[in-house]
Amino acid sequence: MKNTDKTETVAKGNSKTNDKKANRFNITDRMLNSVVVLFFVVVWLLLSFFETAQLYRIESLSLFMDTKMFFKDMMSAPSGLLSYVASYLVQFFHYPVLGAAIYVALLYVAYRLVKKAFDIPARWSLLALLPVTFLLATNTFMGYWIYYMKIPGYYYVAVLGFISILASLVAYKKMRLWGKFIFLPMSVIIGYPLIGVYSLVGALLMGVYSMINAKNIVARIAMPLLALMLIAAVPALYYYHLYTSTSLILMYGAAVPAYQWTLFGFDWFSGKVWVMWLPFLFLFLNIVIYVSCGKFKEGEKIVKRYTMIQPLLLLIVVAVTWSFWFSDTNFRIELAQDKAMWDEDWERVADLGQVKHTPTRQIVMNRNIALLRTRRAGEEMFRWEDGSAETKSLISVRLAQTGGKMSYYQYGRFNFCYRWCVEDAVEYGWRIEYLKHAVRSLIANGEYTLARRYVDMLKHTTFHKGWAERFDKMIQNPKLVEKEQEIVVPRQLCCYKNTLDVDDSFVEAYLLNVMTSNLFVDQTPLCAEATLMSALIRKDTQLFWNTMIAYLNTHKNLYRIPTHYQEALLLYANIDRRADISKFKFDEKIKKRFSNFTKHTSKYKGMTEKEMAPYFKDDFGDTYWYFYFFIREIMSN
Amino acid sequence: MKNFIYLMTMILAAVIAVTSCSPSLPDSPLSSKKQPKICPDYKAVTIPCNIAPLTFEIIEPEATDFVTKFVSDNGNELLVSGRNVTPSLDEWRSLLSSMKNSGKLTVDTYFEKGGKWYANNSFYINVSSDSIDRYLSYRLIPPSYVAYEKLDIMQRDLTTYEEEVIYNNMLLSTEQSAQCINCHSYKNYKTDNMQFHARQHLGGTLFVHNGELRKIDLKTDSTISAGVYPAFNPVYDVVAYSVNNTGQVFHTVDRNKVEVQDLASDLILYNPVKNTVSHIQNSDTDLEVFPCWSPDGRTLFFCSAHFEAKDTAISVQKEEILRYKDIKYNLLSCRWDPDTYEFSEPDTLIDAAKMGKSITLPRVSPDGRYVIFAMGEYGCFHVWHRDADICMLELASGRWYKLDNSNSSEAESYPSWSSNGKWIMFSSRRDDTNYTRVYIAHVGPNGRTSKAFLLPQETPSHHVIFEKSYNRPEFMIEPVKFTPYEAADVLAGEAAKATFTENCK
Repeated sequence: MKNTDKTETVAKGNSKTNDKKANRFNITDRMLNSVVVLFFVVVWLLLSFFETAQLYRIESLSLFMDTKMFFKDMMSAPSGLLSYVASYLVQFFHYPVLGAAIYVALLYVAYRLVKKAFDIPARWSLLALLPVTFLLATNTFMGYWIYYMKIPGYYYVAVLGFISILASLVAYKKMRLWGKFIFLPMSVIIGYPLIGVYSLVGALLMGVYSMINAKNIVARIAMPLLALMLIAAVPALYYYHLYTSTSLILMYGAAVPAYQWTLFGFDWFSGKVWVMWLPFLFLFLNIVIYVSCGKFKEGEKIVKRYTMIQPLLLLIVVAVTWSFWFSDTNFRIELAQDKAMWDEDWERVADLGQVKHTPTRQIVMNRNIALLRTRRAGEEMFRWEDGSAETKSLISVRLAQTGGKMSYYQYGRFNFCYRWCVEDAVEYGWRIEYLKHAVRSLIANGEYTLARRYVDMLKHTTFHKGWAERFDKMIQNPKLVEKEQEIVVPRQLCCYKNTLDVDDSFVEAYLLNVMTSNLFVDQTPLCAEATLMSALIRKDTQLFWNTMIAYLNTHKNLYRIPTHYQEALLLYANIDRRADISKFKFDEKIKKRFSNFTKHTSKYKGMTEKEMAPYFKDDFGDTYWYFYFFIREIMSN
Repeated sequence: MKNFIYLMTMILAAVIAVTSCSPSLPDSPLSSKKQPKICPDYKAVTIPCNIAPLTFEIIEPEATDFVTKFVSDNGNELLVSGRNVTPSLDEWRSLLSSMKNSGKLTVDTYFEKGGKWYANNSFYINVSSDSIDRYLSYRLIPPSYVAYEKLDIMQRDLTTYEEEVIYNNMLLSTEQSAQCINCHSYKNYKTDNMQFHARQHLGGTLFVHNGELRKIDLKTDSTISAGVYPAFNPVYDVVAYSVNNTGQVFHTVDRNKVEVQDLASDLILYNPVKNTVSHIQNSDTDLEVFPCWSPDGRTLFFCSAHFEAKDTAISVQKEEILRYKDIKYNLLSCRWDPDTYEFSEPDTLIDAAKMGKSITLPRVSPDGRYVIFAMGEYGCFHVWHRDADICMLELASGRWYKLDNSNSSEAESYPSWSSNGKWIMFSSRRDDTNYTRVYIAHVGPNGRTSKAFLLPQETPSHHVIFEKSYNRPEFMIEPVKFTPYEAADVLAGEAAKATFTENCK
């Protein structure tokens, strides 16, 4: 690519034609600049306001501590510095608008460096935008991967690594031959421990650049060979002399998610996981092609079709960004619910769960606990869409990793909440939300000494010191715990005796089963209602009667039995003819509706439940009866 | 410019002067009338003469400056400044070597608060002329339950802070095929005959036999599992193992969090020359585990719990989970004849079950006089049992007692002896109830131990913030000689499958 920036173009034009041409390019350049700026602004707006909850969650699934041990731990693996800096930057997603601004600013730096590294003239700026879109896609494509990413600070790793590569290439290009001979090996030998495979890709680019552009025939052959040699040898040398916690094969995948996505040798294309690699692959091919182009030669045909090519390029940029942007309503609702639960905004959690499409089990679980907390369960539990939509993910997603800890905590299963914090911390490293769940569970369980340990860790973070201080005060003065609704309410659900148990990673199924063990101890009203709710979901007749009695016993001043519980009484009495419900007060409206329901049922005799469901949806879709008969095959993950 | 250079030179000189000058004691400090609060607590502990410097933090909020003075019996002094008391290795060694026999180190701490200097009451550190083995190995593992990721078996030089990796499981782990490592063990504290297990991915036992690394598979059709808890015979070329079917279940409320149970277990004997195994104990109603040999190699000590199912409606294993508190291990021993490889009928040394207790992890002292073990209320995995303590049995008298000076109210487990029998080491969760740390205590001539001290680290706060447990601490008198990569190469290869015989001689 020829170095023809706009000032150069104007200076060269002396004739009228040239002036006109220059002016035309000037206008085009400005337009393109505006398009580019608009692109970054739109990305920032989308991240800030459309992906707020996701950015917030990404931050809570990360950890940065200002301790030497944290730094040392990061540096104990190749690409340590990259992970360290990336982890530091991820913290700012705690304020999504600010975090997104920092991220987009770095994308812009990457864009400027692409232009500089590959000598892309201003009027071909959109070409420089293409690698940036792939870079962006490595993050926007993640979806449920946010729970399973093991690379610390993943969100920033690619952009920082990419900037490092381009900066190296820019520096390399300016050097004399002897300087290049020193710089190339140094960039890999010093760069590999700091930025991992990005240093290898940088070496590859430098090698290719020399192969294409070097005037000296020796350099044309020697530099690429040297680059290849370094790429092959340096990770191996580090493996045998420095790092003891990475296998040799994975040394060649340091800082890219090779570990999660099984890049090397083992099960490359397991399921559809390979799709996750596409942004990285395209990014790599893109920059290799750019560097291979050598000098930017504008063929006549290309120049003639310039005005046609620009919209096409823009279209590609938009299409890439659009197609790699993970968009799933359920995922977004789950994230928003989680944020609202941390904020103790239970009305919002319940409202977010009022969906008009099939929700995931996570949404239903969050909604139910919110309805319980807001005392709306009896009226609304079955009013909204129910079911078990599959998570839109290329990998198997388990509730234990996504929202299981929160569910266990809110249902007063503190040991199991803590257990999953530890299990996941082992696999993915301690993260903010694991630490917070652990602290809350341990304090709720009266284990203050251990809670202090995790509080101390949180005190070393940037944005969670305040939270840690608040809980530290409770540790110092346990009486303060009684004033914290965040702990007091889940404790009301802790109405069970100690047993030995396993959940086999099935959070919802486990919770539904064990709630019935609440029946054998003194129950709080909240606990009794939660147990009744679980019995309704389990559709177990005997269990229903037992839990209903327990519920009524703990709600003696009940003015009116809530709607869904009346519906359930009528239904189970109808199923179990021995039951005497004459003492219960029913709303006439509900009784009439139930009578209509039974009449309606007789109309569709001979049809399967699946066939009947649409005929009942409009009139009875908001009743327990509909849930009982037509919401079947709930698959909880 | 000249002025600038001059200024910079002066600043540099001042910085050097400030940082290089040795600390001095404050003039006429006031008395704080109290002992200092230090972390870790090294007050009144007994340490070996060759241990690395004890580092600690002085807990004195709002104090701005600190000076600590160590004074030996013969008047030698060592001054250290700062809240974190980290004596240099050379000065520490010099101080301890000046104390030719056992003696006391007097530690005086001073702090500055509100512009005034205060002196705390002195505390003492007993220095024993009994040296400690130079090396210690342990597995670093998060205090986890089912999941595992990165695991290291490390060796630490006790005379310095140097730590090296013996093996790290990530060298062979992949995301789909993870490898677990455990049970490093040595013959006579040396590393020419040693072993550790790798489980799951490329699983097998890395067995070093007379310096030669090999991978063996101890699972046979006639045994419950591959070898688990090992015990190298100190004299003869055999290794006793337990074979275990282990399960984990979780407490829904109890603070112990998890129960690791042996649902079935036996003892086997391994002959590394012939690569054969045979049974030592394999009763259906007894759970035998944790073998260890006497120094003459002719007596095998082990633990055993008797469990008979009562409920025929459920499986024995389910019943073992339900009745987990009923599973209590006794301490037994049996004689072994090295000529015939035959074992005698076992004798019960301590009927712990009768006392409502459960004994695990026995280790015989190098002089054969004592057996040290962990004892809790029930079960075999005391590292998760808060009531577990370290106890000592005097073999000659049959008398046993808790090592009260060394125990705490939290879980103590995995005791072991130094090669000279003067020190014991065990794991303890006393600091934060969850992370296992290594504690060392001196054994007196009467079989009583001193107050235990925490494994010293270069940074005093290391144990407070380090997120891994020290698992299975074992003394060694020499370092492991192979590299992690050599171990990985061997483990990546095929395992030599052991064969079962009635008698593995």
